[in-house]
Amino acid sequence: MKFNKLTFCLLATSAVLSFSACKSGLSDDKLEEKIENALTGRKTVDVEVEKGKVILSGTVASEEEKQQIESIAKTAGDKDVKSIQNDIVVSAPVATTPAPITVSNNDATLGAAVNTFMKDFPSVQASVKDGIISVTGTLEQAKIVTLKQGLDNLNPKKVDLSGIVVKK
Amino acid sequence: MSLQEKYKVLLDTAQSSGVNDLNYAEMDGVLQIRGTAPTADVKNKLWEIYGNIDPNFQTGDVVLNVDVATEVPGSQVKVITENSNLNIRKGPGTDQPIVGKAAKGEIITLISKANEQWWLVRTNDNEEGYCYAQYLESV
Repeated sequence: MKFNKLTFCLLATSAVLSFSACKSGLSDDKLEEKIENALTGRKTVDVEVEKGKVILSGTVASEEEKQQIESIAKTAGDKDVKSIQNDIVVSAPVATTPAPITVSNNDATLGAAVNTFMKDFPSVQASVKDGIISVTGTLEQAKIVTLKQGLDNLNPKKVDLSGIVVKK
Repeated sequence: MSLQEKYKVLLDTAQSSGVNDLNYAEMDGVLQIRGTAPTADVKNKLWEIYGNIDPNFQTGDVVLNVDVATEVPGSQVKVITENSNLNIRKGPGTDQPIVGKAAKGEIITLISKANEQWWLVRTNDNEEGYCYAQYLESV
């Protein structure tokens, strides 16, 4: 009698155990592997699974692709997927052609920027006309690069430094 | 000789040292060059080559506007003034009040770029404000 009771207990316990094991299905690792396999070839997407919750991250080119990946993950994981958190970022593909070259054609704006910059070079004077910056005065050679870099950054049509007397 | 031939070494170096979005065109007798250098070293090297071809930039037949890719928000930048402190201002412009100073050689944090000339920075003393980008270089 006692023995039977114990056997029943054990049987009942194992039944419960196997039932719950069946209910929880695949482990997180297995589920992750399964979804990753389904998404083979999508190198910019990463899959994480935490207690049945699938987290998708990475970058794709369109919203359509983002949704497509989510549905692939859902299908692949089937009943084992408790929920899906889709953190995939949609980012438009990078333009292959660089931006066209722009040159400043507004003397007032360019002049103001030049004046601001030239405050650090009191020994020379600059003027702006038709997008061309002309500088005159005396300057140490070591400072010429800094001057030219700063003026080139303002995208002028031309920087004329021929009026500068260079001090060695 | 065309300007692209005259500055061939400069353009070739820009290409081979990985300058991104490199673009150049001759406009009104001036070779306009744009791009993003991977490091400050590459940018400095390009300027050195340019200076060798056109000593003291006397000819003025090039406008070289290359910025540095590593100078992005959140990165560390070094103050490269001649010898004075770098003024940090409340807003982007020399008419703005000075709210702090950064010493020559000091390494500070670039928070964002208001425009090509004025960058928002934070010093190690947690002073925050705008300073002139010309005096900052990525580390």
